[in-house]
Amino acid sequence: MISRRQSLRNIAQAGVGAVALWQSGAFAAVYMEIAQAQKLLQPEANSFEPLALALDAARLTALAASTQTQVPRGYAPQCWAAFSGSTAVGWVLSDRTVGKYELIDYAAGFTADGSMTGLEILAYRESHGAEIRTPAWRRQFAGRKGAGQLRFGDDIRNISGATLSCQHVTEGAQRLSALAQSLSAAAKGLR
Amino acid sequence: MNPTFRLALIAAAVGACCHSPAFAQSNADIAAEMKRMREELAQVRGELETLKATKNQAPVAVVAPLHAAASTPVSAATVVPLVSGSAGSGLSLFGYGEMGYSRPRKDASNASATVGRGVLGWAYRFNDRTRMAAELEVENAVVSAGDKGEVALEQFYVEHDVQTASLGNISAKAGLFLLPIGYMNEVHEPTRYFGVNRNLVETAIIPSTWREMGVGLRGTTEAGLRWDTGVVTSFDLTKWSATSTDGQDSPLRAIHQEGQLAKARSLGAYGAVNFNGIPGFNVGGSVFAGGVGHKQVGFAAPDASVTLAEVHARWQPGRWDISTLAAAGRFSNVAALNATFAGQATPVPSNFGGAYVQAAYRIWQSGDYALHPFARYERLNTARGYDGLAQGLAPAIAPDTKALTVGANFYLHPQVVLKADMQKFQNNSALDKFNLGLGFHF
Repeated sequence: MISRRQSLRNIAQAGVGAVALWQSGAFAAVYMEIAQAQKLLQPEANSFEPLALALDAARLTALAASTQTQVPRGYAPQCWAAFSGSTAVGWVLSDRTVGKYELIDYAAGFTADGSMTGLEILAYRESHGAEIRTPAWRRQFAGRKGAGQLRFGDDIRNISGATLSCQHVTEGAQRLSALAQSLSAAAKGLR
Repeated sequence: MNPTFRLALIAAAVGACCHSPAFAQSNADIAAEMKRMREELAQVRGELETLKATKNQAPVAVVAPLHAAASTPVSAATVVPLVSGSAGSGLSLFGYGEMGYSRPRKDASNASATVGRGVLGWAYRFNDRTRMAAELEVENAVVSAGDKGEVALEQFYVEHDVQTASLGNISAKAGLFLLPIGYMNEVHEPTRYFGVNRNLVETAIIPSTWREMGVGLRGTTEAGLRWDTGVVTSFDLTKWSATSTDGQDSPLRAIHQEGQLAKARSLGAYGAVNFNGIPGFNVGGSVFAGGVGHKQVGFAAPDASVTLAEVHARWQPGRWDISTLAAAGRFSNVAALNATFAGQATPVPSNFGGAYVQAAYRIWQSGDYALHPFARYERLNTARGYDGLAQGLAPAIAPDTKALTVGANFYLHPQVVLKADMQKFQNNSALDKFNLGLGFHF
């Protein structure tokens, strides 16, 4: 039977051990840069060209209506077209959204027909809700096409204790998915 | 200077740094330089955007590829940060409020309504790794010498992320913070629980919102395991009153210190684990053990201690939200103190505990509106036995409180909820009541 003093001592020793393992210098919040995320989301692509998205007020209103989400103030996702040689294979879109108090940077990959290839968390700045970084949660996004297949609670399961982060990232993914659908439609229209 | 030219200069500078073989910079220096370049790049892109806008260029233009500089998803400097209430400074405001009306079924003359809680919180981000958070709460609307409200700091802590070699990313918290025990202690906004009032087990057994001062560590593994541990202040048994009913309502709430001139001769420690590796499913548990006697001279139980353990599970498949929790607590080394309470109404219990099961279902949703009916059954007892008191000197052990709560949460918006429920107490119908509530969080 471990006495309370002994357990406190054990915890203190574990704490000292943890601090000893501390390796400072790396920013704990940023997990990967966009270049690494691009490779993970579009493994067949070997070049990425930035693409400006024309998101004027009318398009943002249409986006909010089609995804049934509220577009955050200052919404400015970035887009890259992914190429394998000279063939376009899809897109990578990146965005940021609030978790509970802090911003989450994330990116999603899309195939040429607008299906999601995956979701990567680039930067996560809170201790609450860090579970959205687990592969098990992010795997839910692969293969989904369109905002209607990304409904929070129905299609994308929640993580207890991380509900706000899960919900906001899912809604952000819905918006990126809607943008990818319109990029895909525009690309098909040009062919 | 022309922004494009500046861009080229930056690219050349980064290129020069990368190709110089004898350039022995430390990791910290390179990181700092990259951060400075990132900031400068963001600023230059902002200027470029402004320039393009004023020249009325075609909106869909392919931006020149930015190969050399580290291209992060940081938007141009003109973007307004997506943080509520922020002026772009790292400060964010948040909060919640809940109010309710309660009418005992058998005694309408005791109907009451109160603004249960108004909470304003603020968080400030010092840098990517360091932040503080605080919550100020007003309970029951009015606080003065003659009023029954309460103003309190619910949380007040600094958090710092560290990256370790073997444990991955961990967060260290220091200050006054909520312990990661049960479900409601850390997440108790009105929009996040079912029913007008918080459940009995996590109010009477686990004294939500339970906060202590100390240091805590939290880590999350790639497999979805979240662990917490810490050393914090503990309860103060010298506050126990054997003549008041506070200890019967909630043993731990009656002796909590909440960072208010807390006795700290005895400390407590906690550990918690939660598994969230399967989306929609959570299972976990926690333990708290702390000295409550503080070795006080002249106190009958200077070595008294308390241990509280709980386990919980939650499953959210589709529209369902099913959860369960069980908690049990034990006071040790209180026999001598109880001997001094012989014949009085509220000695210190040796054991107390409870459990609940709850199910909710999202029966209807349209845009932001949603309706979630729910039902919860809970069973608890704040005193299952007394140490140090012979039969006859101790009060009779009360039967377990058994309560059934049935009602619904109606969301006008995910952050605004109207609530109604009915509560039936199997062993004491005088407590049966009908409740209405309103809550929101931002």
